[in-house]
Parts: sequence; structure tokens; C-alpha cells
Amino acid sequence: VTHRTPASRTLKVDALPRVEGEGAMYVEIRDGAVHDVQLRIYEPPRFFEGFLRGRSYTEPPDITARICGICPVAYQMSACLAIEDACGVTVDERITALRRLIYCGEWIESHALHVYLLHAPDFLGYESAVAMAEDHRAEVQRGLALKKAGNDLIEVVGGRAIHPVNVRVGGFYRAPTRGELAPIAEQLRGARDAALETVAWVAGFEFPDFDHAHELVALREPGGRYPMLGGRLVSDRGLDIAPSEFLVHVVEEHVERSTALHAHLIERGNYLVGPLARYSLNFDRLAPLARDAARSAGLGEVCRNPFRSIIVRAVEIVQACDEALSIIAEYAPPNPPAIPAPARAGTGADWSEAPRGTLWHRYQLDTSGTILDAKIVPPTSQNQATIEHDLFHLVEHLIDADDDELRRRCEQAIRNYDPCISCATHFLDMRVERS
Amino acid sequence: VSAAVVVIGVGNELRGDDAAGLLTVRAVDGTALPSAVQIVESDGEAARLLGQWSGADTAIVVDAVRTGAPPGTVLRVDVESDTALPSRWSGAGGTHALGIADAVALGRAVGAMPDRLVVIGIEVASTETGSPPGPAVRQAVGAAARMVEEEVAACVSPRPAG
Repeated sequence: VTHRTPASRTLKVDALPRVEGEGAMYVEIRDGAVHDVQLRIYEPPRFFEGFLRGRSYTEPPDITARICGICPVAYQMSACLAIEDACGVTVDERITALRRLIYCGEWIESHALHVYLLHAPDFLGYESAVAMAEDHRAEVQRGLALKKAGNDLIEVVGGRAIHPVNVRVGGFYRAPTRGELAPIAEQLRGARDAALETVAWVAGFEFPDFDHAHELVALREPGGRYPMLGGRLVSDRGLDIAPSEFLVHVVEEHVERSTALHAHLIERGNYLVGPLARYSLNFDRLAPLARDAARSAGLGEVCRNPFRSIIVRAVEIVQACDEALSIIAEYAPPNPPAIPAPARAGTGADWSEAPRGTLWHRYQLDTSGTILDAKIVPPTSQNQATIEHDLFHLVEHLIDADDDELRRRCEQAIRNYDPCISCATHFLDMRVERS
Repeated sequence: VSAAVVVIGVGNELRGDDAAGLLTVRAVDGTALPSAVQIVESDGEAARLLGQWSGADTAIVVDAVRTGAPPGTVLRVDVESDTALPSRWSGAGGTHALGIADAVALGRAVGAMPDRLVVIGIEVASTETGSPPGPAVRQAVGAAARMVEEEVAACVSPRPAG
């Protein structure tokens, strides 16, 4: 049977499944060539930056956490760091260790959710995680246990699994005792083994040859650690900037099809944040266990194939479990659990590595600590133009594929980036038009 | 969970009537319940629900529903092996669009279901972001809480057969 596809057609997916939030995709093919590819974000704008104005400088960790139910800790950490920068204070090593510990929990739960329930069904040919679970019961059980370990870690440090209540500017309201962390350490040892099994499992998937040349951008922390809290923003092409310089190098612009802003590097264009960039720029910073897992999965020190991001996420789960266990082994409760951070007039900016990539916050305060201006740039809005770029080339590659195959591969490509549409709106449906 | 019976209130307090499940479990008289009963609150995310109900003999899930009945109507579904849940329970309002129905399907696929699952649903009027729960739901919470208490009592001391 010869299968023919029309030279001109339009493919539309009006509500993209298995992504966080609401978005759509539109592909237009004219005379056998890709004419237009759009990722449309239609989740209503959220105006968080607007309603932070006039609030107290102590409130952003709790308010901005509400931007996302998957990565609230990222918002809390970037908010705390930026406000502490405005106040001119720096937390001590013990508070930093506890911050990294709760952040490890978020990486574990967010990556486990994406690898097992959102992305793996694409590689194994299932429409949903539920359909996949019927044939891959043990794997899905493993994924759920991993996700639970991450959530439980957030809960024991943060007081609540979603939108933790224990985080404040300067540190924490209360530090957990060593005894309170003991049961979670036991759970994390199991999770670390499950994470290693995850790397081996996803490494066996089939990956299309699809390397891209986007500029890779991620944090690089002083002190030799895998990037998570603060540091400088670096790229594989020489970018090396402080948080206060972010908007000197990055512009955000509104595009009509989207309620999320598109970001790009001035005079350099699209760039990529997230696990691939983080891994490729910080391979030397991985724990030996995670590095060995990456090598045995066939990953080089730099990974430019977005489809392989599922392996990188699995490696980062190993990294997060391993680091969390190291932190717990050496843990001594910070005393006091928070340092004083008196308000002063000025502007502060900082960033952290959310599961999906660099999350930048900036706050301008008056002398009483009232917020005069707030600016938040989440990872998905930084990646949006890059995702569209990938889709354009993927569609060129698959120009003769039928609409179902094209839709399936495009959705998989979008999920390579684990876009968090809720975070980026301030987003997925898919449409292909062949006219 | 290790409790024989777990009562799970599902909802989002920031979305009007969607708080119904949370308000109901808070209105349950905890002091009158046997110690083998645990009451928890949940955002209804599928993976979390599995963690909250797996291992329990009976799970009673209380959630807001939209079936077309008058707002404030309280309904009860005993989720036997093949009972379809109302479509509203597929969680269109959730962060991941995976709700109770997906949790049941996923739970069955991976063997993470309680022996028995009862869902008590409260019909909603509005789930507008940022608004408080409306009068019909607020009025229904008491009746829903009594239904939870009766359900628990029936599990802990089973009704005589016949």
C-alpha cells in the first residue's frame, strides 16, 4: 500500500496532553515545505509580577510558590536569594545545605513525574501513562515510589509536600532534627537504587538522530557543586554573567500567539536552559555515581539531542538522591534556622536551577521593605523559541509522515523540554495545516 | 498508609466550590472516630492519591463533582471493579489533568488500590479562581461529613448481613 500525504496541510493539536498547563500547537505545510510552526500558550496571563508590587519583601517565597504546583521550591529559592541580595545578606552553609536538601526533593519528584508518567509513554508507544502501566507495571511502580520519595523529602523539610510553608527569607522557620531526617534517608537509599535502574531503563529506549546547535545556558556554582542555588550564568559560547546583568543580555518579547513571553540572548538568538544544558556545562560537577551512570547509559559529557533529555533527567535523579543522602549524613541543624534579613532600599536579583532550568527573580524594595517592582523569568519562556525551532526542523524531517505520526512526534519533541506552561504564562492544542 | 480506613478530602481552597472535599473532612468529628481511621487532605493529584490510599482496607474520597445535579447535592459511589466514575472526576481542573478516575485506572494497573474505595461527591456551582465556596456547597458540607462518619462506622463495625 502506498501512503500519500498531501503536499499542503495543517496539523492542529488544540490541547496538548501530558504537559503542565494549557497550550496548543499549530503546524502549516505549504507545497511540501514547512511554512509555519507555532507553540501557542493560551493559559490566561497570571499577573504575579503585578500583584507582588506593594507587598512586603517577606512575602514572595509564599506568593510566588503558588505559580507552580510542580516546582514551588524553585520559586521559593529564587525569591529568597534575590531578596537576600537586595537586603545585602548571605545565608550560612548550614542553611544552604538545608535549602539544597529540599530542592533535591523537588528535582526528584518533578523529574520522576516527567520521566515515568509524561515522557516514557512516547518512547514506548502508549497514549497515556495508565495504558503504559498495564504492560509495564513494575516500572511505573518504581516511578511512583521515586516521586513519593521526592515529595516526602519536601514534606519533611518544608512542612508540606506542595507549596511548602517552612521556607522564609533568611532561611527556615524551623530546622528539622537529625532524627526527623533518619526515616527519609532510608527511603532515599531505595530511591537512589531506583534512580540507577531508571537510567538503565530509559537508556534502552530508541532515540532519533536529532542534535541541535542551540546555545546551552545554565548556572555554574562557585564551590564545585552541581548547579542549584545561585552562581553565574554561563554558556558553551562564552556567556558568563552575574544575576544583576541578566536583562542586559536577555530580552523578552511578547508574541501574539502566546500569553508567555519569548526570551532570547541579545545578538545571539535562541538558547536552551534545563537538564541538557545543566548537564553539558556541569558534567565535571556530577557525583561519581551519577557520572558513572551517565557513562554506562552511553551519554557523552555533552548531550545535544533533546530526545535524550529523558536520560539526563534520570541521571539528575541519581544526582539529587545522592546529594540529599550526603547532606543528611553531614547534617547539623542550622541554629538559628534563619539569619536576620532587615529590609533596605535597593534592588536584588538572583537565580536557581528549577527542574526545567534557570529561574531568575529580581525585586526592588523601598526602605520599609515594600516591593516597588518584581520581575520573574521562568525556564519555559526562555525555551519557548527553542522548542519552536526544534519543531520546525522535526516537521521538515517528517514532512511525508501522516498526520497521526507527525502529531505524535511533535508532541514527544515538545515534551523533551518538559514545558511548564503554568509557569510560563504569564500554554498546549496542536494544529497542522497543509494548504 | 497503615490505617484500616483512610478518609481523603480532595480540593483546592483557592477555587471556590472546589474546596468542598477539604471542608467536609474538616467537619468530620475526629474525636468520634476509631484510631484505625486516618483523615488526610489532598490536592487530588493521581500519584499522590495512590500513596494516600494504597495499603488501606477502605478509602473514602470526598471531592467536588459536576454531574448536572443541583449544586450542593451529595452523592455516593462505591467504586467496584468496573464502575465508571463521572467524567468530571477525570480532573480537567488539575495541574496535570490526571484526577481521581486516572488515579483509579493507574492504581488498578499497578496494584495500588485499597480493598474498597467509596467516593462521596458534592455537586458544585462555581469553581472560579479566588472566590470563596458558595452557599449551596457550604450548606452541604454538614450532610457530607455525616455521610463520611456513617461510612466509617459501617467499615469499622460492619452491618450485620441481611
